[in-house]
Amino acid sequence: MKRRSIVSAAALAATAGLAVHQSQASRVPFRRPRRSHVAILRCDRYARTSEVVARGLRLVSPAVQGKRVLLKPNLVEYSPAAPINTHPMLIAAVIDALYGLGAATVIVAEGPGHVRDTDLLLHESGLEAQLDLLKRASFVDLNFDSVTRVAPGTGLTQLKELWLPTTVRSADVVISMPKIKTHHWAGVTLSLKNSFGILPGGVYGWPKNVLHWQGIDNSIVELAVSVPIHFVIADGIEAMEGNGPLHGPMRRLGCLVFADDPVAADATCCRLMGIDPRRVRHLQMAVPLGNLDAHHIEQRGEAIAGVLQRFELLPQFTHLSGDINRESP
Amino acid sequence: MPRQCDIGSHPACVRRCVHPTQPWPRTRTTSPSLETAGTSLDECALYGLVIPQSCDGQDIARSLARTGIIRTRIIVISRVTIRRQVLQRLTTTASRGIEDAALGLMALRNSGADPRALLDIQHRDGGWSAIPNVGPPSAFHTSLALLAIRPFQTASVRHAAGRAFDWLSELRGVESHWLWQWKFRLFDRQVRFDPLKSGWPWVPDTVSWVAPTALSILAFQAWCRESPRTAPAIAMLLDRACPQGGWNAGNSVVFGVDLDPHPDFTAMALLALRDGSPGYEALLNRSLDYLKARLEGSCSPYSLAWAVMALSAHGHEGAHRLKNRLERCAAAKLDQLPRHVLALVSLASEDIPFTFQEPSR
Repeated sequence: MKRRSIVSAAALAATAGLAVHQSQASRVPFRRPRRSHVAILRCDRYARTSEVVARGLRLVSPAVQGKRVLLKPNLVEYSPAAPINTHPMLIAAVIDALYGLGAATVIVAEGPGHVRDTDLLLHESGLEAQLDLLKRASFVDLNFDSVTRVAPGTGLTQLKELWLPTTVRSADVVISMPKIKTHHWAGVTLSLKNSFGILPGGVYGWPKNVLHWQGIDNSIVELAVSVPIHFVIADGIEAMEGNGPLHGPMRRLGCLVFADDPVAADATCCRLMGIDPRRVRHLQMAVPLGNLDAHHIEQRGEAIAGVLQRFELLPQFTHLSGDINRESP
Repeated sequence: MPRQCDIGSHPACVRRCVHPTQPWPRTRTTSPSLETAGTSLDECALYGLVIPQSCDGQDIARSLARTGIIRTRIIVISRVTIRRQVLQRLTTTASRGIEDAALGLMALRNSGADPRALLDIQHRDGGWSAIPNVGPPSAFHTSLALLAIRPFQTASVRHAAGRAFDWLSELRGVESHWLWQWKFRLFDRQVRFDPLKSGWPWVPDTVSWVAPTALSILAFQAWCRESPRTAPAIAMLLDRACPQGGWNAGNSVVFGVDLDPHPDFTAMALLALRDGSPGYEALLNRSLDYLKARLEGSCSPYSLAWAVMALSAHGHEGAHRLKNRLERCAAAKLDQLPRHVLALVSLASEDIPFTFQEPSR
């Protein structure tokens, strides 16, 4: 009898613990808009980005008039053989367009996750040359920026504090510019996963291993809550499939994606890759933050079906494969 | 009108450089930045101080080529000029974190630098974090601080070092725990590494990575501290080397794909392995050759400085060439370099590049 009581008490405690954990895990604040707007525009080469960006920003516009805008590209490491990084010509075209829309300042900011020598990466990736040509945007290395303490709000990780770059926290508008890629740990790397680059390597190291050990999906959502993304411009001209984010083959998807909701942006990019976004764990978890459901996304520009390609997926992610026509609301 | 960089417009000085046995006038010249002292070789080098900052080694070389001065001497002029400029900037640039402070202290160790500021920001537990009072303590920054304070063997420095080594000794990569070793050996095998060979993580509760492991080894070596942790850490570095030579951030093969090495992590690992590793000579040689080849065409002072120190520590012939390149690149970007890079440039530009093993005072 006594042993049975102990077992019962242990089971009760475990259940209570799980319930507490679940209630903590559900503290993702509700920020989902009633309706999100996404535009898909065909673009077959980077030399055309100025024209296509201008059209895209007419279809879905960020409110940047008089604002301090921060562009967060995906700049990881450079390889001449692989489309790893957001293309510098696209970044330059976006900077130009944002100034055209009345932005007060445009800052390009990234904290490369694998590379400490950001100068070398900027030079080899061609971004330095593009920024020099423009002379209108500065680059901030988030790995070495001054930092601000933020209390994590979701309970999804065990982190008691997050130290985030002051430059990001002080921006009026954060525009995420991911490269559309598959990812060997997270399934996909799009605007939400792109926020890993915000965490300062100077505090946490290279790579940002703290986030991996807190659970990649949990960390993605935690960062999405701590650093809201206001707009997304995704580089899908040359995307990556298979063993992304570094070693997969290039897939010429031939499009740019513009969105006013990061969850809707990532859901649309998934659908363009032949992936059901509802099966991507961090997107499921981020549902309070934006629209995953296609019925709540107002689609502009090209239809998904006209651009969609079935990306090669690593064996552990073949279950993500989906068909947009079979998605039920 | 002669170009600003035209050294030929100062024939007297040029003659003295060509003929170093001639005495140098021990009076101040018309140029306020031209000092006079020392041996004739130094005097020639000091002449470089009058070359405007906009003139790099190439400008000086082109100018002096017409006078018949040998190239090695020209490089000496350029080198000392840049190092002085770097040191000058270092003394006027504030530290933004431990990396700035520690490397700055190393660079200025013979110029009256004081370790007390670094001691004052040591964590209560013995480590140093990247930024004072910000974030978790870090093995990388703790090791840098240990390397920086080592020449100053005061009682307070020795006390601080003792606490720091205690903290470092307790900090392990999580893969060193038997449970994770079991997981990595049996199930989680996408990243190829031997979890029995463990070093130091960047911050607590993460796995071992190359940079903090290399710097921690250097700190133990520099302080001549025996530790049961250094042998497995060296084994970890050797285990994690990229198949083609060099080191990535921490692993060499992920999902069956060879990772590319990075120059700075490669240089740090090579410095930690400078005492040689029997049986791994071929790996070290491949890594040294990679480092030289990787940076011959690049102009990043940060990576170049780390590379010069590593190549020099191994006596590799590429050190001299990269050192010249570093000085040209640093001169061109001097105003933009952050403090920790200025310090690295200064350390790598020393006559014998710094090796983190200088004797104590």
